[in-house]
Amino acid sequence: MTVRHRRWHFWMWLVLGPVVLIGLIISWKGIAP
Amino acid sequence: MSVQYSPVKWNHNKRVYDIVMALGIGGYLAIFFLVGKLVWPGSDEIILLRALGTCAFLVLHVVLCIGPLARLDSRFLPLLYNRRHLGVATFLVGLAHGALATGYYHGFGNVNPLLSLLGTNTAYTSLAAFPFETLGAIALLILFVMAATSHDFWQKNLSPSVWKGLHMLVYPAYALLVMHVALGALHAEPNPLYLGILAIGVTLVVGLQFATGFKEYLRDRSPSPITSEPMREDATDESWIDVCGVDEIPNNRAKVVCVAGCERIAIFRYDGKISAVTNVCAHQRGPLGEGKVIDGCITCPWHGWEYRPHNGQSPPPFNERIATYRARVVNGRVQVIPVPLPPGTPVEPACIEEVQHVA
Repeated sequence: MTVRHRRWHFWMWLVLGPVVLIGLIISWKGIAP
Repeated sequence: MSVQYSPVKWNHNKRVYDIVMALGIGGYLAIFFLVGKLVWPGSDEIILLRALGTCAFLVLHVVLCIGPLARLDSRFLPLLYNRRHLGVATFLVGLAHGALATGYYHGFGNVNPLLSLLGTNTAYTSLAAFPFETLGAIALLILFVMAATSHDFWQKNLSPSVWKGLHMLVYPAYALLVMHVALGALHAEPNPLYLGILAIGVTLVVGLQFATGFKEYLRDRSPSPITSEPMREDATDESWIDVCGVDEIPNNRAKVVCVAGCERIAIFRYDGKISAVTNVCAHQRGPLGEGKVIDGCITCPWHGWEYRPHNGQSPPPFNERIATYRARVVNGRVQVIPVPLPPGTPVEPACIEEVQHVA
């Protein structure tokens, strides 16, 4: 991987990872009985 | 590598890979369907729908984990070799899931099934009634684009950078599918067990990606480079930097060195000589320095693309080229000028036997 690719990958996961996990928690809390 | 177009460049490894993949997917669907018949009394279509959906999602997890696993442990490299077939299989199973769901839930009315799928439920502001189908449809569209452009033909015509950027869309597609499952299947059956399985899958993918990123970050900051300043393009003979001892490089293998602000350099030892090339393969940016010299050519560990160490050129009839670097051996130490030469530039290899002594 190039330096640029590694940086892009890092920042994408830094944003995407928490977004997915928080989305999962919110959606569960929102739809759980 | 190939000089002419062919839909699939079959070889023994790819056949074995695809047979195992087909058996795995077929076996999963069969077992899920049979167990589902016992667990969920209902229509066969719904069980098949769940089997296809969970299968596609599971295979996507495997696809996303293969990359970081191969970076963390080279024993996973064989899985990376034909990963694109696994990606295409993910799309096909997901397409079957989408087609069956659309036909089953939207195919019996007066409205076009696709219009019904995307237009019936517009409660985008409601979490409980969110039209999760739209999320799945967008993800499937992304997977389709990726599957359709997965051949090297497209990579060559789009350029490796554009192609790689396009295929990085798999991560947003994964995020969409997680929400598709969370707001769809988990809403229909809010069982903590299903949530737990989904959370484990997401944690595994995110955790492996971060673990790999952290490992690469530490490697970039490793003390192997002598300089901490980015090298200028007008570097001169004074710019030689000491990177490692000759004995640190196994025969027919490489040592990868990191120089601040520059691409990594792979320093290969072969036939009593030392050559330095970029660590980035021209194909899919694979780590050349983790490959071997086979039959006189550096062979990328990801897909087997080959380059000659002394000039970074693929052997005829191929015409791929990678950047080379000037290297020399002084008192048993390897030194390089960490400024890349234009791809394919011949560089006289440094002879290990002829130890130079510099005052």
